[in-house]
Formats: sequence, C-alpha cells, structure tokens
Amino acid sequence: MAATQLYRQSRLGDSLVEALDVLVEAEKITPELAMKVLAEFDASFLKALQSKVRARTTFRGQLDTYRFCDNVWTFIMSDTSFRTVASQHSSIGYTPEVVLGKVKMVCVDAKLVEKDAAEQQA
Amino acid sequence: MEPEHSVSSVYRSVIDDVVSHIKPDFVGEGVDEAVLDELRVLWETKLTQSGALDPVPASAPTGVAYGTAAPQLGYPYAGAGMAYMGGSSAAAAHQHSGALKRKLEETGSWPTGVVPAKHAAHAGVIPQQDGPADEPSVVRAAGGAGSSAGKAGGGGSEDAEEGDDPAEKLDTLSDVESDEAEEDKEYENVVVAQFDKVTRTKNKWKCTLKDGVMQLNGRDILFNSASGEMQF
Repeated sequence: MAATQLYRQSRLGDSLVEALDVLVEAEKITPELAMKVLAEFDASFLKALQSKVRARTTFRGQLDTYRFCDNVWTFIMSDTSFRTVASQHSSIGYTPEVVLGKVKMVCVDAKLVEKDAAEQQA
Repeated sequence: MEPEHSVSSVYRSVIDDVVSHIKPDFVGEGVDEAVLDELRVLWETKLTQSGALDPVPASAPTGVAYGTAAPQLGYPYAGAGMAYMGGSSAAAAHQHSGALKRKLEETGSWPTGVVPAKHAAHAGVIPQQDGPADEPSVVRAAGGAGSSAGKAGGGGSEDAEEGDDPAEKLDTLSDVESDEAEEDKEYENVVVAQFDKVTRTKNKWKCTLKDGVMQLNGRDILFNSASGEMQF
C-alpha cells in the first residue's frame, strides 16, 4: 500500500469510500474511476493538512499494546490525555481532551509518505 | 486565539478540491456530471452523519467564512443530501457497503491494508480503512452509519468473519493473538498520523508525529505536529 493512503482510515476518507461504494454498486461509475477519486483524495487531504493546519498536540497515556510492521506503528492506549494548542507559538486556546476509553493510533513513516507522494506527482 | 481553519472548513475544502480535480476524469469517461454532484452529496451526508462535519447552518454561512475553499459554491446540496439519505436509499446504501471493496479486491488493485496482506491474513486481521465494520458486534462512535451494515461488509478476510460470537472466538486465541484481535476491533478514538520518530527507554515511549487526524470522544481534531509520552 502506498503510504499516502493512510488517511482513508479517517472519517473523511471513510465517508468517501462509502459514497463511492454506493455509486459503484449502482453502476454509475467504474471501480477504476472510484480508485482515481481516492487517489485524488489522498493527495488533497495530505496537502490540506500540510498547508492549513497549524495546531500542535501533546499527549500522555498508558501504552497497552504496540506493533511495528511494514513501517507502520500501531499503538493501543488507555487513560490518555490530549492537549491541542492552536499553533506552535500559542499557549492559549488549547483544547484539553481526556479520553477514558482506548485510543488506537496508527502512524505511518513520514519519510515513506513523502516519498510516495513525490512519486505519485511525478 | 489566532485565526485557524476549523476542522469543518478544512474538510469542506478537501471535498471541493477532490470534486473539482476529478471532474475531467468523469468527463473523460463519459460519466454524467450529475453523478459527480451525487458523489459530493453522498460524501457530505455520510460525513455529517458520522459527526465529523458540522452541518451547514441554514442562514449564516459561518462554516465557510474563514475557509479558503471556494465558498461561492455555497454547498447547495446539503439539504438535498439529507433528503436523499432520509428514506429507503439510506438503507440501500448500507446494504451495498463493501461491494466496492469486494470488486476492487477482485481486480487486485485495492490496498488490503496498512499491514501487508500476507501478515494480515496470518493474524486474521485486516486493518479496516474503509466502509462499515466487518464484524457485527462493532459499536460505531457516530451511531447509525454502519451499525446495521456489518454483515454486508463481505470484503474482509474469511478468518475475521467466521464465528458470530467474538467472546467465543477470543477463547481460542493465544495472548498474542488476542492483542491483535483487539487491534482489529473498531475503536471510537482513533488517531491517524505520520511518525517522525518513535523511541523507547525501558518502559517509557516517546514519539513525535505530524499531519494527524484525531477522532476523540466523537470529535475530529487535526494537528500539524504532536509529541507524546506513553508508559508501557
């Protein structure tokens, strides 16, 4: 899998996959066209995250399980607190978020994402 | 607090971006533009239903006021989208969930997951990246979307689908496998990001991340960078 596809797991990506699924099933678009839409989404969401988001997050928690496979870290955490500030230089306007339940964290190697994104642009 | 793009405005700009960029491909394949409109409606509706997108306010367009994305579009389909999903078509959509995944797996072009297919099949774990959950027992954070679709999501591995009772299944697994089974289940709190560095000293883990999407307590939060400390 291209590393750039990681954001398909987000709710934004998941909703798009479901929407495409409906259209493919109704034979309004081909699966190939659906794949093109998803590739466009990969590029677009990555660009938006890089260019529009300035927030900075810190988190602490209990690590229950971890796995590193194919350059992807998967962490399952509990009793985790997240603190997000609006930008690197701002300490006000933070959003404290305490998550009592489990948190699943999926992290793809940033170098791979960069490499795959560059290849797809070429 | 300095001006910051709201999560919804970022999401709307991505939707606009994808729809406008993919238009030539739709035209090239001779697909009616109405289908592209339908895609946008479906996407926005499903995203709103998931709770990740604030509904467009009826009067004041504050939701798009500080986005850079073509606000002139005005999202004319939001109302229609609700109507579209309000009736039996919503149920139909759920029934069909997973069909794309199946088809794409047949053509061999669909990514089987973050984990390579071989490993995933071995562990009986296909990381879910799309569509409703394959397991009927899953509780979805947003409620509604997908909860009824478990059985329709036939794209997963056979291993993941056999046995309706997850508890019974867990009994037969070793400790290691049950950890992985835990990974397989759908979490209400999910963070998807890129890592720059992950280090460990004894039982203390530190990681630095970037470009992340967090779904915490039902709310989506985006970050440019993140650092975390975890105790194993």
